[in-house]
Amino acid sequence: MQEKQFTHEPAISQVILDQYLNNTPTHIPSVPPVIAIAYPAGESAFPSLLLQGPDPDPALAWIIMEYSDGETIDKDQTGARIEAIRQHTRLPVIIAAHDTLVEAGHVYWASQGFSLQFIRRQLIFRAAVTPTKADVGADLFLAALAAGAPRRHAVLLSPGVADRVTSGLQVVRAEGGYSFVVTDDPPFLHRRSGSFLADFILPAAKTATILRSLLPRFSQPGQPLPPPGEPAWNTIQRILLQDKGFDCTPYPRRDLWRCLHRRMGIHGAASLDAYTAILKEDIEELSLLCDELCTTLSGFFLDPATAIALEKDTFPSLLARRQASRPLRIWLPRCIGGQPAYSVAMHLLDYLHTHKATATIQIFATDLDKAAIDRARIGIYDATEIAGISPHRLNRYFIKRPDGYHIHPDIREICVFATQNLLKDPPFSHVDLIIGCSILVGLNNSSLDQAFRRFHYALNPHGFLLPGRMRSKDYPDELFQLQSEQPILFVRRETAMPFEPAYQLQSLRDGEKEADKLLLAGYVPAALLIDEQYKVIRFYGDLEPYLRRSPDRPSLHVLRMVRDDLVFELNELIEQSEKQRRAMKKDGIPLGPDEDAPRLSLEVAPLFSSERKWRLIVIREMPAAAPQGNERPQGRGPSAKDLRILALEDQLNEMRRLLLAANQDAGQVQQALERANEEIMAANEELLCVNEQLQGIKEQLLSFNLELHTANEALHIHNQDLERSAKYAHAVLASLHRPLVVLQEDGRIQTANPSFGRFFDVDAAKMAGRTLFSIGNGVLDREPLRKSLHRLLENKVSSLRLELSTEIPGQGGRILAINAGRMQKVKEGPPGFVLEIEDITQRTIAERFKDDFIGIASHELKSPATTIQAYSQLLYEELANAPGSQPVQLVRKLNGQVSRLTRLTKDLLDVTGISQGLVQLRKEWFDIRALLTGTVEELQVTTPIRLVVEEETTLPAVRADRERIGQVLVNLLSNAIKYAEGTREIIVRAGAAAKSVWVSVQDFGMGMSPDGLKDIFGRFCRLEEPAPNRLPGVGLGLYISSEIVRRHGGEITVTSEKEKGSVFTIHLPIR
Amino acid sequence: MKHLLLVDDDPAILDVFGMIFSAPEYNVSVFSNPDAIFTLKTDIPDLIFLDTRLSGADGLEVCRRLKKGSLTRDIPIILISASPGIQQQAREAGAVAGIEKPFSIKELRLLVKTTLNKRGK
Repeated sequence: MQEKQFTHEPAISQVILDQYLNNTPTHIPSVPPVIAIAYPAGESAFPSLLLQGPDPDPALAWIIMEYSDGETIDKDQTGARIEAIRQHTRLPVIIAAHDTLVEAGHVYWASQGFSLQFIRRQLIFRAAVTPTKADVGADLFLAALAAGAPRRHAVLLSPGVADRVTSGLQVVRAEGGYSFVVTDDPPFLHRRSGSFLADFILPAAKTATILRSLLPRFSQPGQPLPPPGEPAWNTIQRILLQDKGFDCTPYPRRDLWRCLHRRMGIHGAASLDAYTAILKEDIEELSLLCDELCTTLSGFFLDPATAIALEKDTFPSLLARRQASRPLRIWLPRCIGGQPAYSVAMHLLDYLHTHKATATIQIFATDLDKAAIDRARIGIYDATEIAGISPHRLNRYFIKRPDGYHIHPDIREICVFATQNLLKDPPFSHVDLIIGCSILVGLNNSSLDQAFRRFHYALNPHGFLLPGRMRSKDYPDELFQLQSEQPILFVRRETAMPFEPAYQLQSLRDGEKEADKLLLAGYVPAALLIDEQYKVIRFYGDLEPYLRRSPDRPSLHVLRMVRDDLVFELNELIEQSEKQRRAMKKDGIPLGPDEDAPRLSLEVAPLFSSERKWRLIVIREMPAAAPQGNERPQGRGPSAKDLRILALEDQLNEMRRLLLAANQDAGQVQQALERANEEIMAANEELLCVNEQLQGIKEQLLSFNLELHTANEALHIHNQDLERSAKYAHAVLASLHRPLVVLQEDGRIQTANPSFGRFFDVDAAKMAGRTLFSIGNGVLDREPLRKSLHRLLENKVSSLRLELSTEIPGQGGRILAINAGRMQKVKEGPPGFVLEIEDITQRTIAERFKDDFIGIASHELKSPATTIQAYSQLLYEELANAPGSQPVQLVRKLNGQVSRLTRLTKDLLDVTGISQGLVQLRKEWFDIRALLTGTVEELQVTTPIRLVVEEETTLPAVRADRERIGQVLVNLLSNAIKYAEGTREIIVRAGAAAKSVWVSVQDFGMGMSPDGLKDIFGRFCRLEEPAPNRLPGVGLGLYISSEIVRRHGGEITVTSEKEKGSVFTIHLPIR
Repeated sequence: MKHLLLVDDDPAILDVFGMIFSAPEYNVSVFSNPDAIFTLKTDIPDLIFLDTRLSGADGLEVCRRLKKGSLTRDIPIILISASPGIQQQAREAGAVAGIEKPFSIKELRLLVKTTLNKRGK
């Protein structure tokens, strides 16, 4: 099927519908080539001018159409016209009537009441159902001609008609036909052919010649396609691409060839080579060819320059200036098959995607041609139509189905398709961009001006207009500023020339006033004003005979108010007037079944504005004897029966037409249903896809679940470990015998162990958060502990250790040893302190008891020792008088041992006193050198080792306990003598520092290892070597010495080396 | 003939003192009970040896009391003790000296001699 649907009126729709119904192929050789001549009624000589030229070719059919702007031509004038034509041709001239068949070798004359239809492989004249205006009629006629007989016609137009026909000529051109504007008027002849859509503007004489040269092409329409790879073909493609940026490779070769073949005809070029030569020479021809290709090849391609302009300039600017809340609105006043609109949508979506922008988009694509709109709405394209679309776009914006490539719903939803007459219907508003698709080509000056005003009105400030091809002299400089010329891009100017469409004036009027005005003009006949819901708004005149009261609830619905006889007719008239947007009238409607019933004339006038769709219904009673129709033969009065038959025939015709229309509606409904079905299928597909995805997600969830389960188990085990560890730690803490608390950094208790609770008779579990001092009536609230703990918490010391005497309820006075220290750092755990309490009461008592015991024991020992010593001294005195006797030696030895014994008891007493803090120093000023010298002299007597005193400086007097310091010196010297047995000397040195004096004793005896030095000043410390028996003693000497020096605020030090000797030094402060 | 009085409850010490001062110029008498001292009316001693540790009494305390009594105030007292700090304590209690056990009999004799010489002057 190759029907072309370039119509927008019912009559043409019907042509197409007929073709559908008859299922007729369009390439019918039996249809003759047609030369159509169209002229306005005023130029009755025009057809004669043309007919006289060529010898009549019997293969051709001539159709002469006269247009008269709605005025009917009376019979006499018609006869004169026919007669004039007959004088210029030898062919039979036939006046076209309803059902007249177009045949070769005939001339047909038709007034504008007729159109052509292509029915059952034949071209047939049909009476137009409704009278149409000349321009629309001519358009329709030509479109129908082209649809019926492709590539077999030429159209000869008078300039008076040429200005009015645009879409019809486009169809003619698209189908390979030729159009001529024939005039002898010099100004017209100087216009370029591009100002009309016509191919030639010629004087009448020349037209015949050209027409004759073209005739062979008429009879041989099927010129074979040049083979692929033909050099001339490639050359043309290259020229188009290089010079015009037009890539025609994606288009079907057949379509391209049709266009090229036509252009070759215009130039009389016999071959492609010849045409290529013309193309190389003639820049204008190249432009025309390109233009024609652009307008006739409808594909998914904006011409490259336009696409680049959109992406580089227009889109960025629009998006930058756009208000976020407003959608981006684009208007294409030429829809073709929807491809330009979809292309723009794809470009824009790609652009948004690339630039990661978002915008709401509305694309309005309009066309005069309802069929084009329908085609666009369906949005299904076959493989040749989508050829050359990138796989990316095909994948993203199309859905492949068995019946072709469907535009993706996402794109489809953006685009709104509607029939619209650019020059008559209200334009869109708040549009950001208008893409004209060369719609302005062929418009005359006033139409151009009107179109530009409409574009100006429609666009937002700074809105863009891409008009496509147009002549530079037509640039609307006062309304638009030219931004670029390749492609032509305008930006809207802010000017004081607002567009006020006529319909707005209409809308400003009050509907009722308008109605009053109309009624007054007709002497106020019976009339009703109804709104869009068919509700009666107002009654006029005497309506009584035409209304009824229906036995139901009262209603203002007009169809329920009028009499049954009128319901059908009225409804139909209203619908027609709505479709055609003009007043519709029907006469001769009988009111009631009687033959002599009054005949009525019904008229429905639409009062449409942008806001309302009101209608005025006027009912007039017709005079009884009025003639009923034009076709009625004159002469005798019609009988009532005839009239009835005629009326019934009319009704029958009408019914037939309605049936067809209903059929068409049904077809549309079916289409809509099919579309809906497809959408449901698509939705179903999407649901299936979503289901698949959900399945995938479900599996993922299951695997996540499994992982979670595993992780959970691991956590559980870990948790158990932790619990065990915690229990273990708790058990360790609980098992501690000693009371123990863990303190927080602020000193409050974190944990206390059960021993702590038991010890202080409190509940250990409730200790958390309390301070140590609040426990058990403040048993631990003692100043020393407060001070020490404070220092510990302040980090001034790292640990504390103190003994505390306190009264514990139920236990009496206790002595506690308290140890505390900073806890070992735990990763991510809070810092803390561990404080441990030891009850040392028993131990302290035992130690005191021991000290007391030693003290008392040694004290008590002293008395018998004293007595023994005294006796031995007395004995010595007695025996001394008899020298040399053996007993004297014995007594002396006895004396020595007694002295040792007493010294031992003395030492024990000293130690006890020191450990109990009972030693009191009796300080006095004395000469330490004198003490030193005396002591050395005293001890020199007891040993063969030479005691050498080296004096370095004079020593100051010191304030100290003379007796005790003497004791220290004796101790040090005795030790040196004891451990340096066999050496020759012991060196004693003394010296003074700023505030202290020092005395050192150096021996060269056995010395000590570093290990031996460790505890040398401790209690009961004795060197293990040599054999203890050799050097008896309990090892208290150094302890006592160090304690005495310490209590003086001084210091005792030792350095020693094994087998080399030792140096003991004391430092004493001067006071 | 100097009269030395020794107050001590240790019979061994009493014996030893008797032997130390067995020279003819000394007459040593002993009291084991310190209270007996305060009953003296005649035969006032020239020097008193007083042990600090007495059964039922503190020697230092006895010394102080003697130093308060009108009859005994001027009698020099020498305290005897096992404690190392006796010299200081003795001086504080009003005694002429304190000697620590064990002692050298030479030194003791010297001390008595010098004490009695001072008193004689």
